[in-house]
Amino acid sequence: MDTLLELKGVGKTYHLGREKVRALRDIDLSIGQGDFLSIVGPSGSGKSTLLHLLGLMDKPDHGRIILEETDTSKLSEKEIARFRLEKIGFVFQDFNLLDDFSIEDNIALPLLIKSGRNTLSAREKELLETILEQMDLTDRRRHKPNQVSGGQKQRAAIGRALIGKPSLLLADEPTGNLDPHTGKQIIGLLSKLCSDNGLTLVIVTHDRQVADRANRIVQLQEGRLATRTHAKKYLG
Amino acid sequence: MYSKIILNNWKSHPGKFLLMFSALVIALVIMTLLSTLHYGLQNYFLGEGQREKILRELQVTPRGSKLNLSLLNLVPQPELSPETVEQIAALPEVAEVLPTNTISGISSLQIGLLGQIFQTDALLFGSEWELLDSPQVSKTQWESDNEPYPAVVSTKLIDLYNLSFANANNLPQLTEANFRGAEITILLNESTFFARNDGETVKLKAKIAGFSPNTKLLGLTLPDKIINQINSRYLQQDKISYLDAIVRVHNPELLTAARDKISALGLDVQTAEKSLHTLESVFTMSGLALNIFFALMMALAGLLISTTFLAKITEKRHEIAILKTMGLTGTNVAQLYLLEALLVGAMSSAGGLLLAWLISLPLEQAINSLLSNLLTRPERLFLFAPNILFWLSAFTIFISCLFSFLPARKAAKLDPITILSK
Ligand SMILES: Nc1ncnc2c1ncn2[C@@H]1O[C@H](COP(=O)(O)OP(=O)(O)OP(=O)(O)O)[C@@H](O)[C@H]1O
Ligand SMILES: [Mg+2]
Repeated sequence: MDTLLELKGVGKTYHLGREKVRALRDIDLSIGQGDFLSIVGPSGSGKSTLLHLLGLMDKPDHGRIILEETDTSKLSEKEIARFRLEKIGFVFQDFNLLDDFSIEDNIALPLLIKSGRNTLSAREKELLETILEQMDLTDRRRHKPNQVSGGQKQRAAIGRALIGKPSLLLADEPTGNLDPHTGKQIIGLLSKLCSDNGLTLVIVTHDRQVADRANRIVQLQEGRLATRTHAKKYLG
Repeated sequence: MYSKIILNNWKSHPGKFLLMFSALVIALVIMTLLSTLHYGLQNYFLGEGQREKILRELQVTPRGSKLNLSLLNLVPQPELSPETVEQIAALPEVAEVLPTNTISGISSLQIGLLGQIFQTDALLFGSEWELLDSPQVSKTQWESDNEPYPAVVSTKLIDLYNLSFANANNLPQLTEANFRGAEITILLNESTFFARNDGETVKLKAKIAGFSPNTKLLGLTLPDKIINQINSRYLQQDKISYLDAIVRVHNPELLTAARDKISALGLDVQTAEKSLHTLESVFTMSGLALNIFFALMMALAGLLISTTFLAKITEKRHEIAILKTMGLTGTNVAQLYLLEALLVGAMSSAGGLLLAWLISLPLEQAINSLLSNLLTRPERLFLFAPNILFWLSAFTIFISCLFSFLPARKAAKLDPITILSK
């Protein structure tokens, strides 16, 4: 398996006045292409911080993050933004859809940002249709986020994360705001997308059942990797 | 992509957009009306032709003459002889000399007007067609030398009569229509004020041929040939002489030279240069005051834009953060808000100019009807000159962008993680 992402000695410290919060210390982690990895750990252990670093939304104080053989610490803000747009999809616990945009516009937004245009090309429209269908949102496409259910919102967010055809999909407690049944559906959807498209998926979760669907579980404890990657016996 | 985000935002939150839009539009409308009015008046008083004309003209009078005393004709008046006029005309700087003559005696007028007959002492002047320089007099009429003689009245006199006398005494207004063609009887050798009798009364007929801003204010102006004719035929005066003359030089640079040379001939020379400069500085100062006023008004509108943008950015923190996690850079976010400001500025300036123009039409009409009894008035009060409109709208857009710059920078610096993890 080719390595998609590699963390070497990564540390992150937050400064709150005089107080230092060492959110992450000395993380070494390697994620292969097509991996389904879940990150578990108690609250405050640094899971979200780690995911933000993986998503290039934040920068580590120490160590290096290498994505597709590129040392991301050497990239400019613009290059990092480009990387995020083209290689990374992010799914949040509370969906983070744009309230003023319809479901389909929310999903299409990364394409518009990438092209800088106001309308989709024919091929992009086709892609949008596929995604809407995959996410089962075709009949909700013109609704605003506040007019659809939580599960539908999260499916729209996943659609938005996928439309740019990223190689890495990151999800921070994607089921945290959903009822167990809907949560299960979402996780099922995510893992299916991964195995179908060879996408690398990293999920932060509190839910043991969700974590168990991954083929690798990483546990964080006070900012350190507590259990070195602990491989599962079977895939999918 | 930016414009889609902006339009979406305006659609779902029209209030903020309308607030900024109307602030700019109101400021711009007020300013456009004032500026175009200012320019209209300036053009009327100091327009290209007007200014050039003033700067080419000299008023020449014999030294020591007191014009209005000639009414009494008690003091022998110093006069401009035809030879002196020739001398002036021969100067290389001089393009034309337009002398005014008068009758050498007293006269009064009888005029039937608005159903009444007025009789008054009046001065009679003579001048050439060129001096009249008024669209309200026709040349063919002016050149006839039969009775009734063509007579011209100063437009300023009619305005003065309408504004002060007619209004105060509740009399009907004199208009071009009801005054033109009025019959006048000139009574030579007769005075209503003074018990004088310089000879037998002679009655002559004249008729109002039109109006001119360039004739003498008090009195009636006839063709100069007719005045000479009257002098020799009825007043035993064959000698031709003039009261004063307007001298026009070829171009404004020659004015000083001409003034010096004519002074050297022993004549009084006056130019309107000084009053022109006074008028110019009045317009410059009022223009400056207008600009300062505009800048202040725009600064206020700008502050409103600033606060609105800041509120907007606080309200949209979440959205900005999401866009940033998706791949917008800080620069992109700043561009997004600056583009919005640019659009607000551009739309307000288009709307403001259009609205100002729409308002100026009835306003122009209203003022025109208020001034309808004046013969001397600008053709257009609100002059929408392209360069004024350009600067007004450019400044509006500039203000909109300037005052959104700091909010845009603030938006650019927002940290998405801090915002989204709350
Ligand atoms: N922006 C910040 N400023 C200061 N401290 C922070 C910041 N973000 C996180 N922290 C701290 O860093 C540590 C790790 O936080 P993080 O959000 O990564 O935890 P987490 O594992 O995601 O927790 P949870 O399961 O509750 O989401 C915590 O102690 C937290 O208080
Ligand atoms: Mg977290």
